[in-house]
Amino acid sequence: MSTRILEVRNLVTSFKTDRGIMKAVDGVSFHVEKGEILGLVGESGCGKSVTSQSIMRLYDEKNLVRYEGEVLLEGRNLMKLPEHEMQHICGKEIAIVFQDSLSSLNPVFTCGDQIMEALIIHQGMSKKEAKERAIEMLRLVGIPSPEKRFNQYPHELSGGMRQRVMIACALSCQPKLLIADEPTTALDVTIQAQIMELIVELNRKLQMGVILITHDLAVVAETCNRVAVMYLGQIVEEADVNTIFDNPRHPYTMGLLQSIPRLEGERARRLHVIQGTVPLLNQIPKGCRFRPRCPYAADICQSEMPELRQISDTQFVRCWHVEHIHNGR
Amino acid sequence: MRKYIIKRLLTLIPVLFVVSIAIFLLIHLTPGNPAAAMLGDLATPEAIARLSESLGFNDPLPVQYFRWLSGVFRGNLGTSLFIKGSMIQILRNHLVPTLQLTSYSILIATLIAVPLGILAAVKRGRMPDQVISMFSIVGISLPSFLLGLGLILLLSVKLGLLPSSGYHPISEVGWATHLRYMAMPSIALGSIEAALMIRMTRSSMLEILGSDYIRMAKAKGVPRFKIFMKHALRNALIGIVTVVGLAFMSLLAGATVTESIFNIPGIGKLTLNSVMRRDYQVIQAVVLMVSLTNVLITLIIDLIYGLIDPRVRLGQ
Amino acid sequence: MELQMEQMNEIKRALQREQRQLMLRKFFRNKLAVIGSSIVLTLVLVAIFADVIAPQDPLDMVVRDRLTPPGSKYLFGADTFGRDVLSRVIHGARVSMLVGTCVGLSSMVFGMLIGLYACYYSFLDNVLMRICDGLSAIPSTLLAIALMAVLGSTATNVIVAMSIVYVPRMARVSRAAAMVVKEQTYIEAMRATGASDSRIIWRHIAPNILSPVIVQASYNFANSIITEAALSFLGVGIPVPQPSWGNILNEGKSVITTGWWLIVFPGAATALAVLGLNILGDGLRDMLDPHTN
Repeated sequence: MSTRILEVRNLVTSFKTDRGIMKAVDGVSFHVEKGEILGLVGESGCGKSVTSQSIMRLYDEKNLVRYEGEVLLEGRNLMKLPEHEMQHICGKEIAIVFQDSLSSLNPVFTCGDQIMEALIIHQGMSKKEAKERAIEMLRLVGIPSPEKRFNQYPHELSGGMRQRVMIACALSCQPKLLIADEPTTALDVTIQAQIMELIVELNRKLQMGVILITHDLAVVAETCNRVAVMYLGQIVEEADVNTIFDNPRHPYTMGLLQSIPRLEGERARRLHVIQGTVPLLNQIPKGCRFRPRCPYAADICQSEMPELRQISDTQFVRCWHVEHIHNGR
Repeated sequence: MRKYIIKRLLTLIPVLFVVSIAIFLLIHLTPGNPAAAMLGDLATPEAIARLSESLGFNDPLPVQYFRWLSGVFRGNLGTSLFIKGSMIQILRNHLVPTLQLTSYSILIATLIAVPLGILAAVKRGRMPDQVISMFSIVGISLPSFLLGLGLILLLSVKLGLLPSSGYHPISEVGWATHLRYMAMPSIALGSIEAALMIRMTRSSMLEILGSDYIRMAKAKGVPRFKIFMKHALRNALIGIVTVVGLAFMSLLAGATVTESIFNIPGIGKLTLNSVMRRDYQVIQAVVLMVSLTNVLITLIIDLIYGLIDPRVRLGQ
Repeated sequence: MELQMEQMNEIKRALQREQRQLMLRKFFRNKLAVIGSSIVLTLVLVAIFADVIAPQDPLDMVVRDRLTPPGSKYLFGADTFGRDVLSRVIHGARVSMLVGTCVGLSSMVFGMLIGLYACYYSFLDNVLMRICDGLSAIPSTLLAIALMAVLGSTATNVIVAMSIVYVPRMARVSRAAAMVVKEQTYIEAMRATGASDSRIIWRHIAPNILSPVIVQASYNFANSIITEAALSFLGVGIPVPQPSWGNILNEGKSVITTGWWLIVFPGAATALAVLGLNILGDGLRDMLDPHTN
């Protein structure tokens, strides 16, 4: 298993709030292989972003949050590292691209400054070397006339360009793992496609692992190798991308898939909608968390929480009725 | 940047126009003939008529306004009925103590408020934050003259540590004595202002610390101290410049009361004496000067914004 | 169609009711707001029933008792004319509350009026807002003093002068809030259905900007108490025999070495009133601000 870059085991992230402790991520385990793109999907509020930011320990551990479980980066447990060593991991070994590029880039520094920052910290480059490298990065992510963009401020660029700058920032130190947290949600459809293409291309070229967080299943189908579906802080199904789309076994996954509009097929079929909404974290139901919205719910679902069970080489499902449910029938 | 400055200067024109009209009309708000009001109840009709004539109160208002305004442009701010010398000279003499008092207070306020405001934001919701926030709301609710009186009661009446009032210029008595006399008024004025500044610093710092770009900096592996000094502080400066500028403006006017308590011959004291003596032209000149200073400070704040924040500079 | 409107209104009313209850609950959960409002309420009651509560006539001079320290005869001591300081402080609350209420209300009414019309008509916007800019450029204490100088020291003029000082701030606050509301789709929809401008302004925009306006009004209330005390303290506010906190302090200043009670009690009263209002304002802001839900 030397190709495993990242392995997350039983990750629990709980927030301290006014209304008590809320577990936003509750016992999540998955792994990412070298050169692989793992899709992390689910509705908003399912804990996808929290999972990714917990891997980098971005939340304020003094006031806000408590982590449990293990996050192994090439065998090293990040949860046990002291803060200053974690700083050498963030940005160098693991990098992240956020959704909102306008607020994620510091408005008072130029794009070039912000790309150079990680290079100077992690690679010990001089300003001059860092500048050359930063311009190279801007070129790599497909920004025209990079020398000019280098000196511009974030708000002077378009949304798509800014997102490319963020990617350049993230990739500047050639991380082993890139986390892309809904990198295209705020962009136009055509720009979305370009950015996704860029991420896939860089993933192949640099052989880095990618965790792609999204709620857009079409993007998942095009780019990911494997998919983990999250619901209320837990993974409910995990499988390779073909299996997920051809043979989903968890009712939630089926619901998500059926809610994608399709061009082909009978037009009369109405778009499927999953009943209800994601409950708030302080109202997590007992037993199976999806039960209140599940069309197959039975007594056992109410009393006991199902485990994530392996049902084939590549597929894991968290449901009591796996044996009875096949492709939504 | 040049375009930004020009644009900013153009917006001053209507503001100054309104200010000038308001100040001009000030005299004419008096019930009846302003000359009669200036001379008081015992004045003879002849004296009133003479003063009316010499100050041009008999002309229509627009004519008076333009005469007054062109006078202002030529540096003629009118004459005092009681103090000798040109108005500019009078203002300058009284401005020095006020500016000293204001500067010391700003210094005290900034030194107290900026670190405490940042501390409160960093320790949000915990003990230091709660203590600081409580102090600041109590400070805001305390009128500065009350604190001044309290300080006099405590430090000079009870303990005899500092002189209770008076002003001595540096040129006559040297720095040490000068500062001994200025200490209490500056503390009174400065700590009240600090209360307000703490609140503003805290909220602007909180906004920054919760922002996405700070999270991004952390994700890039920037050390915590550097995140603070580079990413947060540069943005916080924008807020702090505003706070200090606003403080300067409110102190300049708020000094009136403090000057009166501590008997400092500044602008405030001049205003007050002129109010008592109905020396209207002096009041007019003072209000004009302080308002112009205000406008100027606002302009400077905006220009500093331009330097710190590229979004402003590039006209967004 | 008619019926539908009726139902819609019914639903709207029910929602509003629910929201009011929610707000009340939030209000009582918010300790600050409760503490602040009890302080303010107490002071208002003291102001209203000053005649009943005050042990003596605040103007009654007993010359041989002048500067009596606090004791059994005079709880808060006697002033330089032998008047009961406690009674004067109680009656001073009346002046402060009256001035505060009048300034708070008038700045609210005129500020909203200016803000709303400025937001709705762009030609008015330029004129009105430039006037407000200009007036705000003149420092408030100085403007108040200058106005008092030319208007003459009476209680009414104190209120007038301070209203002139505080209206521009309120106008700015309500204009900013109204601008946000105006951009909302339902206002567009109202306009499309041909509702008159004044109906839109007063029935639909005005109620939606009340939260920031009320919060600002409570701060104006607090500030006007400070300003009134300062004006009276300087001798250009409430005319002398009438008791006001600033007047008592002014008198106390001249006897600071011998009559500390002339400063401590009215000073504490002023600070308490302003503190109460500021806490109330903060509480209201937290309560009405949707972000703190």
